[in-house]
Amino acid sequence: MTTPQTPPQTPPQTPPPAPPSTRPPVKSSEEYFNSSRIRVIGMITVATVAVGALGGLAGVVFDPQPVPKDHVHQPATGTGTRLAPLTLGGPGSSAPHRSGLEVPFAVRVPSADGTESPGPVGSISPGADVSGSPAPTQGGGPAVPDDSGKVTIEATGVDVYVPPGWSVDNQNENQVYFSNGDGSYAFAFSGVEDPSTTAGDVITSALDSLLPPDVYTQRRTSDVQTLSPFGSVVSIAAIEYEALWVDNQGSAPIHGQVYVGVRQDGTVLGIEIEHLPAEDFADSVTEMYPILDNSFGRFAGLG
Amino acid sequence: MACPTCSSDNPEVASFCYRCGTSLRAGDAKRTASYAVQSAEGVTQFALISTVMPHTSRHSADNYRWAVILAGVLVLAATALGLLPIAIAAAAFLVPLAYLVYIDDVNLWEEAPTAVVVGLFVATGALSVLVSLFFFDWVFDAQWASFAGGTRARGGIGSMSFPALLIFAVLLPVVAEVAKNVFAVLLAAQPQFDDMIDGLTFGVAAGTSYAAFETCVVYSSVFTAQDFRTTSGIATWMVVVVNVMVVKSLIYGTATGIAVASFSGKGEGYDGFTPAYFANFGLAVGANVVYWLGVRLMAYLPYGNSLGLVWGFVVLAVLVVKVRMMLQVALLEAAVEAAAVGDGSEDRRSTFVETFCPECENVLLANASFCIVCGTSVRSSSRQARLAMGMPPVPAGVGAAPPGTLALPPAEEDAPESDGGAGK
Repeated sequence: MTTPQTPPQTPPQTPPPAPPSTRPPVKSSEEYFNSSRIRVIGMITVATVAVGALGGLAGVVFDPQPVPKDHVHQPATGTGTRLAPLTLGGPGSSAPHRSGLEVPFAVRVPSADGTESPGPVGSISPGADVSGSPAPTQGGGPAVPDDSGKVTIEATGVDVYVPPGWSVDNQNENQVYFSNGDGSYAFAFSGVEDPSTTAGDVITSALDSLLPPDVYTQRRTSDVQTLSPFGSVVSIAAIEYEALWVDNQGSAPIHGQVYVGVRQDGTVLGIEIEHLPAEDFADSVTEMYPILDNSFGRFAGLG
Repeated sequence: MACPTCSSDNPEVASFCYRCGTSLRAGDAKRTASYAVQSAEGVTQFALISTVMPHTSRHSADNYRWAVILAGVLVLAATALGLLPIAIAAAAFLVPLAYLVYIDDVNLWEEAPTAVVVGLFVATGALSVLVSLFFFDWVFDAQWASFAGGTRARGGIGSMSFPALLIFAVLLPVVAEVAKNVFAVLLAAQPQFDDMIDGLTFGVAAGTSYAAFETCVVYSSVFTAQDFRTTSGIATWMVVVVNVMVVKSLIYGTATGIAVASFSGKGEGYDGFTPAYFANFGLAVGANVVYWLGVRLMAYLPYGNSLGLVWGFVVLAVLVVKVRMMLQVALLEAAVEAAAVGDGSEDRRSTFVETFCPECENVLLANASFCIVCGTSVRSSSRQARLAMGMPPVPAGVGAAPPGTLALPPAEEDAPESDGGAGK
């Protein structure tokens, strides 16, 4: 309804008088409310603290069964061998020792936060024209796996296996990221390092880039486990982790593994597989292990 | 001095018409500079407390301001210490708890059992849990896992699932808004709560309650995580906690408040499911969709969580201004129409005896709907204050002075109590 523009038809109201009130004036507007300032502040604060305490109690009571950490897999064996269970330590316990690399591989591994991806410093693949590194393909959209289900990482020419039903979500010169739309994700990266570098050193130095603590909160990692080399791979290692992923819309427990192999020519291939929610990781590995087997098998010259 | 809008005679000293609230000062005929609910503020001012707690006065609003600041600091301290189960639970319920205290403070449930209003919180919260579990756990859990995990910037926007985006940023807000409205509309349809400000209050209460329980579901992993305390990602959690504590809660609350307030309507009785209600319901849904779409898309940018928080504040600011403009228009137009019709319907909304303005403590004239000094609407006073003003209880008109007649002060022994226990 709109405001009438014409005066009302009723006769003008009698001017309200201002007879002296028989009521005592209010002392203050506080009399118009049930509670005093102290009471309002006290009630809200105490109630908030009480609810917080309930939340804390829930945090203590609802302690789930730990997700088994015995999924580390020996790639390219074709047997799906599971290695001995790993012991998870607290955050940061995964670093057995500091790498002695002159140029830590961490700066070459594309950051897990793609917005902070380093430049194409990892593109020093053998035989490549370093001065004219090709532009990342990110702007052109992700590549589509070929008929054999592989995507090539441009910087090193390493092929990564993408299972049927998975789609490549993001790719640039050094990395490829793909998922199955059902909570499983895989992230592969490749670069070139000193051939004497061990896979464990690469994992240790790259861990914070792969699993940034601001997103992977409450991160727990196993010790780095050295796996058996095969083919042209001279060093291969893995680590298992669990974390609480968070953003403004929610949080979820996430569980995954990182595998890194170093070939005798210094080429490095890293593959991270993960699933959320964490408790479903065991059910998802059968779909993700072929990524490891096929990719590392080809990487080692076995495929 | 005759009011140019409703022709009521006002004292020469009046700055505002005592019946329709029109500004009698030169150059402010449309009254854009003075908010009818709290006259010291402008209509388009971004003032949270006076918007979502319209029955407070300038003085009492400060109580809530300080209370929320103090409790908020405690929540942030818990977050900084990494005590996430404590921080998330307290952050989720801070605004709803403050709102319960407010409803008690202004005696909103005077004519109804306390259980009715508390029931609104609990019932809406139960619906929230059901809807959230349905979407996040029971039916669309795979899509949620894909949707949530894909926001990690490494995957880029290419990893975003469009069907999941439709489910969680469009379908869910629609269903959620229905759930938020159900019990609030039922309460707003009660004759003792048919004022637009009451509808707004119930809408805000229901919206904040929904937000709190939804937060508990979507962040339930902090209660079931292996670690009680975290030492990593504190900065991210600080942003998340501010978002759920202030932005999400108030966006849900104000959006639902707008819808339910339009259900109540501006005059006598409630308007019901009118086109205006559905338009404002659509606005509430749209605000939630815009909020979540923005949060989701900004998650792919650098500092995505912080940008999402800023985006939320922008959406909240728009909603707050919308609420204020809506109440301003409703209060002024309803008063003008009541004065124009002259059917006595305004008597239920105006003072009966001469009393004192809760806002500026100057004299309120008998049969006044607005303070002639500060222009504050009597309808935005607490129910405690309205009892002191001698306003008749439901049903309307009982004991009210006939329109156009002088109201005499009641006999001393009949005068309503003005102390803190009145109406309780």
